[in-house]
Order: sequence, then structure tokens, then C-alpha cells
Amino acid sequence: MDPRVRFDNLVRQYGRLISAVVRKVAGRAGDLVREDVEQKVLVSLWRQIEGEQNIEYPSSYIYRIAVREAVRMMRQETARAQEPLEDGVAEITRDGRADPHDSLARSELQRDIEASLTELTAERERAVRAHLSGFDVQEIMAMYGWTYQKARNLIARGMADVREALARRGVRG
Amino acid sequence: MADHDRRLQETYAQSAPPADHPSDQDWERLALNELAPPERAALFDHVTRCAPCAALYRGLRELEAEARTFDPGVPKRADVVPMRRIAPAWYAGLAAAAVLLVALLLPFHSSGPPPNPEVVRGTAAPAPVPGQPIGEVVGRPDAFVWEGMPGADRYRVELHGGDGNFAWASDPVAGTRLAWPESLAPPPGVYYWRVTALAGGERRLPADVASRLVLFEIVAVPRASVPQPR
Repeated sequence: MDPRVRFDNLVRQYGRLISAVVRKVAGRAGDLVREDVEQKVLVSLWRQIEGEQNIEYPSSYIYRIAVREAVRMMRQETARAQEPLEDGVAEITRDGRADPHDSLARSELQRDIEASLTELTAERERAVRAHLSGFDVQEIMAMYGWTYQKARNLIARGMADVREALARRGVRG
Repeated sequence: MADHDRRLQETYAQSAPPADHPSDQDWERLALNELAPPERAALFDHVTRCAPCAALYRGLRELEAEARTFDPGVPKRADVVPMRRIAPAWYAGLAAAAVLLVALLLPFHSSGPPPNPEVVRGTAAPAPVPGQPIGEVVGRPDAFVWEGMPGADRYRVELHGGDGNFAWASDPVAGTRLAWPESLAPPPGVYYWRVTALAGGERRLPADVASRLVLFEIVAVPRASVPQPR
């Protein structure tokens, strides 16, 4: 295949991929992501590529540009998704709860969790924060370069410590 | 306990994110494996405190996984994790049984290629899905069980030791279940297995498709539960 055609195809594949990832990351507001995002990604990719001085593309060059564009688009679209639709509606749609007691209880629990986390050793704190953020063991292993056994132990023991610390503060399961 | 932890996760995820987000250049360097280990750890310390950045990180991982399927220029990952080695202490006290053990374990010491880290992570493309064994297993598992994939009618099962070394592979099998071979007597420890849908066959699958590697751990049968001879 002609290198130029292959290059064009690669850029188009990245255009589709980035727009799919951006829509997914935008989450519940995915419907708000504009439909022309793929075209926008393509134009931006080409603009960046044409603006580069280096014409001998190293193998990872397109990937680098794609990552740059994906990060920019994800930031932009998630920020857009958080913009209020109408004055006065914003607080309800953002929070999703009308009951102020729930908000207060949540704030207090957040404060208790943070306080409990500061009592952990550094590695247990890392493991528990990652676990509470929804990352699974494999992902946590990859993030910190831990073995499976180490990651699993840090999460299990760290979570036990957090539960104990929370129980001392009156928070029980 | 699970409900309590779920509540903690939901509450933690709604915490106000810290202000000092990684820059675009930081993300780019992470994706290109250009961050030094301390910088990398610092970035992840932020990611685990910031829900929007956690979402962005997941997006980048998805981008990378998918891009790897069509762009050979995607760099290798820096986060390939060493497999857990079986602790030498496990062997302590077994000297008397060493000869027998070696005989039983012979198939586990054949040196083969370590598991491909790309396969460990899996891909979004269709692939067979390992079912059992998974997680902690008391004693020898009964069978390998998996979900097949469209277009495949023959599979091969591979077993790897906890150190990542290839240990055993089945002959091609039809169906999605393979009884654990009698000849395979692994000691307690961590193992990985995967199943590969084999190319060809009546449905003409164009290429072999491997599942992700699944970890399971064989723990010894408690003495009390072992039937004693009368």
C-alpha cells in the first residue's frame, strides 16, 4: 500500500478511536458531546501533523499526536459536560440529590474517609485510594509496578485498617 | 461488608478533586513511557484522588489498547508487572518429598516463553473468556471452563506457573470445558491460565485468538476436611 494512503488511514482510524473514547469519558453527559467530534479530531490531527518540522515520522509519532489530541478533547468535553444547562437547574443536576441531609452526611463521611486514609502507611494509602477510585488489582499492579500478591495484600490490609479507623469514628458497615 | 465498601467507594469518588492536575505534557509523557518512576508514581497519586483524572487515565488506557490493534508504532508499556514468584519458604520442610515432588512437577519446569503482557491485559476485540478456575481454589481444580467465541470450534488451554513460565498446554479440544488432567498435580501456589481459540476448523477462524490470562491460586486442602482412612 502507498505509504501516504496508509498514513491517511492511520489518521482516520485514530480520528474514530479518539472520538469514541472522548464520548465514553464524557460519561452520563455523552449525549451532549457534539456529533462533529470525529471531524474535529481529524482536522486537529492534520493541523498538528502539518505544523511539525519533522517530516520523517518516527513510528510512534502519530500515536503521540493522537494522545495529545485525546487528552485535549477529553478535558474539553468533560468540562463542557459539567457546564450548567440553565441557571437554577445546575445544582440539582450536578448533585442529583435534593435532600441537604444527604449532602451533609456525605461530606462528613468524606472527611472521615480522608482522616482514616492519613493513618495508613504510604503504600497502603496508595493501594486503598486506588481501590476506592474503582481500579482493580491488575490496574493497581500496573500503576505502581507491584506484584499481584503485594497489591492484593496492600488493598486487603489497607481496607481493613480503614474500616477499623472509620468504626472508631462511629462509621460502621 | 461489600455494601459498606461500595458506599465508601461511591462517597470517595464524589470527593472534591485536588486542583493541581497533571499537565497535557505529563499525560503525553505517561502514554509514551517517558516519565521517571517517581514522576509516574506522583501522577498516579493524583489520579487516585481525582475522579476526572481517573476517567481521563482510563480513556488513555483504552486508546492505547485499541490503538495497539492497528498501529505498530504504539510503544511498549512501562508497567509490565513481574509475576509473583512462588516464595522459597514454600519449599521449606518438603525435603523428604523432594524427589517425588520433582517428578510430579516436571512439566512445570519446562521453560517456555513468559506470558505476553499484552495478553495479560486483554483487548476489547472478541476473544474467549476464561471462567474457571479463578481466584482461590481449594485443592486441584476440577476443570477449565470458558466461554467460547463466535467462529471458533477448537480451543487450546495453557497453564503458566506463578513465575510466568509456561507449564502445560492441552491438545486442541472441542467445546468449552476441559477436565483437569490427572497427570497434572501442581502444588499450592499461584498459577495463570488462558484459552486460545484456534484458527481454521469448520468455521474457518482466520487467526488464533487468545483470551486474557487469568490468575488462580491453589490452596492446600485443610487437614480436617481430608477423609482419614479407617
